[in-house]
Amino acid sequence: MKTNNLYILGMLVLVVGFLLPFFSDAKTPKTRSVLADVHRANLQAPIPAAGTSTYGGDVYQQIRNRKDRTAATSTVVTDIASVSTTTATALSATSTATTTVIAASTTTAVAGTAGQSTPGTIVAQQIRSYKNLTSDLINRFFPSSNYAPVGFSRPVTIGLSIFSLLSIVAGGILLSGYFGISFASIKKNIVSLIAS
Amino acid sequence: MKMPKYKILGIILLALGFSILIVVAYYNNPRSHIPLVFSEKSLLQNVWTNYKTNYIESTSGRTFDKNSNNVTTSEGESYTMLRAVWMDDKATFDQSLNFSKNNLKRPSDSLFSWLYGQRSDKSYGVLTSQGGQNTASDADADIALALIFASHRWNDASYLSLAKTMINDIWKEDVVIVQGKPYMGADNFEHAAKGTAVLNPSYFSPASYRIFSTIDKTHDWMALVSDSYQVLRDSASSTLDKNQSAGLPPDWVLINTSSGKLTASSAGNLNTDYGYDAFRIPWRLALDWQWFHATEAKQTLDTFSFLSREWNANHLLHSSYSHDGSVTGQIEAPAMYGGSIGYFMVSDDKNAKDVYTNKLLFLYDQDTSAWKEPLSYYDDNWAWFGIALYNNLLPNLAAIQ
Repeated sequence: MKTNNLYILGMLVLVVGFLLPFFSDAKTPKTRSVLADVHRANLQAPIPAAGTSTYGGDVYQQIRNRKDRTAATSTVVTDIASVSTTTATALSATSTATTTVIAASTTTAVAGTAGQSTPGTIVAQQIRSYKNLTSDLINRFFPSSNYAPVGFSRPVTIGLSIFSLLSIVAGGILLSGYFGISFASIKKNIVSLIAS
Repeated sequence: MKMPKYKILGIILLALGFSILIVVAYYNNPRSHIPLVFSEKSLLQNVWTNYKTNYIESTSGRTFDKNSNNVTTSEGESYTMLRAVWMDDKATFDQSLNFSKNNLKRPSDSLFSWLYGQRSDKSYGVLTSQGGQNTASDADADIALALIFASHRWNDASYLSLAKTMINDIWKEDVVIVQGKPYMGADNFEHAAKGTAVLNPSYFSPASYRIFSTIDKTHDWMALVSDSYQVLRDSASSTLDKNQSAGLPPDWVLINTSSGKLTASSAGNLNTDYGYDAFRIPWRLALDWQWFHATEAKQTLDTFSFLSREWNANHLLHSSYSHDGSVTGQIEAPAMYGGSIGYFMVSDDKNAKDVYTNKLLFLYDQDTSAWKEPLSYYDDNWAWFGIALYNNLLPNLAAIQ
């Protein structure tokens, strides 16, 4: 009866320990990869210097590209939001601010043909604002893909550690039973050792 | 029959438990993610080979920046030439030099236009709409240095001849004279500037100027060395546009052409951060220390102790800091470590190995002989320069006869 219980306990430990690592990890490699792509894309569009005249077509294209990237970012944001309420709240604020800036950008920017002059300062400032917002978003959650945290994520580490420790305990109990060692005999030996 | 089963299960559980513990402990230790590099020279060679594939157009030899609409800068060509000559890669050096001569050389002198790329009409050329025809003095000086090195490395006087012409033109076009003292301006505009001239302290290259002084006796290059150090120290200690200074040199600073006083620019793109420009200063000063044991280099680097405090407190450096020391760029950038390693090597050797191992060597994957994650054109160059500097693999080739 005792050994059956140990057997069941051992099996439970194995199952729980095995499943633990799957219950978390918001920062999956895929999510990180998508965000890294967005980050890289974000760096591509140049910002015209304030006060300089820019070409309407080019600037409009830049805004349109950024709008596309915002959609990509939003998808990732949704993915992350489904994992963590805290994360969702933080992202929501950023997302709202981003949407406001993009809305302002698209309202101001008029689709023009290449070569058509537009007031560079206003558009450049909008692009810069958006660029900063996107950078903030990326940096808040993924400081740098080059220096991403190494090793298992915290929940996986905890899960694996608990699993391994319980395995050691369960294994130890099973082996001690096989060799006829009981807690009572261990206690007795210790007491006699101290007494001697 | 029952007992052996439990015995086997017990042994399996024990083995499994200990194995997982060991795996978790090993995998979570940052040290386990640092490659076992047996030859730094191989690392530099492998990364250089990959860089050529990723950032140099094989047909033209044009170095381009994928993150900025594939533009080419004279800075990019200068980095390619420096890396090529240090790597003894004559073919790449010549390709880059020929591209620069054919496409970037300014019609009025021997210096190079700073920006080349696709124009609005889809043709390729110098981007004059963005001031691309102007010089960037750091690129000119680095190309001249690379040419001098090339003449020694490959025993070809034609490189030296071009270098001499460039050095003369650098003084004529890029150097600003204030109260009789020479300062390296940011571009060819500054020497004629009224009121204030723009300086980028990271363009100062005292080690190069010492070498230029042995080739060009008509100009006082050694005065430029000492005046460069003066600007570096003064701009780092001055509060500029902040209430206090962290003691770091700025990306940009203005010099009054009458009084010589240093001030911050009001233009947003000429900020006083210690960022993507200024981190190159420690690297350049470390070269001056390595090649010439210049005490000014060590004394100046010693004043950048903010970097040690930041590292000791956080075990990282951010990508940029405001002049008062507050963080302006949250991310970590390989380029920042590649440049700032010069400070740690000369002034904080206790932390130098940690910075090198955990932030530069860490980027490399021994299994693929490449960076773990792709690096941008700028990060790639500066991570390479930093690793090479740390391993004393950037010799002064002009000193080799």
